Amino acid sequence: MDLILWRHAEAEEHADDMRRRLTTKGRKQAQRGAEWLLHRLPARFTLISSPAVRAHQTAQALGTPIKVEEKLAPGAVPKAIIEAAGWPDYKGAVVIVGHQPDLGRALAQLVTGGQGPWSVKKGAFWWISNRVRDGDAQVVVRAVVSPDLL
Amino acid sequence: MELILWRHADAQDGADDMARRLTPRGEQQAAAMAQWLRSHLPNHYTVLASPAVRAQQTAAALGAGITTDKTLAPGASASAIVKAAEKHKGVVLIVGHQPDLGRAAAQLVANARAEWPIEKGAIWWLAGAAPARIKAVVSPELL
Repeated sequence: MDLILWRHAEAEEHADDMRRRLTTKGRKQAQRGAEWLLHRLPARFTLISSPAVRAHQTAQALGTPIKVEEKLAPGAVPKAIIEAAGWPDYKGAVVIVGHQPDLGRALAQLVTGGQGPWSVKKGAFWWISNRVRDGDAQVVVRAVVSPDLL
Repeated sequence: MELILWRHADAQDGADDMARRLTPRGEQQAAAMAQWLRSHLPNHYTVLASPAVRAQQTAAALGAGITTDKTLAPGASASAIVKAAEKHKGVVLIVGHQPDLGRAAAQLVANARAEWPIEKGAIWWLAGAAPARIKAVVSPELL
């Protein structure tokens, strides 16, 4: 399967963390990321977002229906992220929009079995996929892209 | 330090491993990745390539000067790759082979002895001293 972990774009400050909205720059970052992804994702993919407004707004840039998953809210543990994605058995592509350091911890676990957290910049995404090569299950990092590289 | 690990693009089979040339598809992969690299690299950077023809051809797609480093030939250890990079300042681009590059990435990023897969023609851009941050990964299939 293909799994894209996408960190929400730049957001405004707000006393209520769950209600923080994207800044103008953040909206542009989300738009650029979405364009890149839409050119490369298969026609059908599953989009799952944290309930936080900044994540939901980032996901909206893809213009497809969003499944909101409460377990992806800030503080999500790797297991919750990996289960929400249906990794490793889901057939197809899943995009998860979430937070740091949660995504970076999930990535370190998926790729190395380690703790991390790995760095994921605002608006950046990691595209990983799994495959079996010579009888061994492998996780391949296919792309790591941040908005400043788009 | 910024280190870009670039695996040679798709190559033909051949009895003499060092003489294997890129396939037409490999040439396209190398050209596409070189174009992406040129638009994101700083003005000054160092290109180190394995002496194998498929690595030389991949590096040549950049159109910059290439330093051939025999220690980067197939079978290079992770420490040989890191050592080759550390001889130079600034951004260093190393064109080499698997599983060698994937071992170097695992050592630099996770201090792990592991073989991380790197697709043909793909780059891994690492930043900072160990543990390095993965700044970008780009595969030709996703350009």
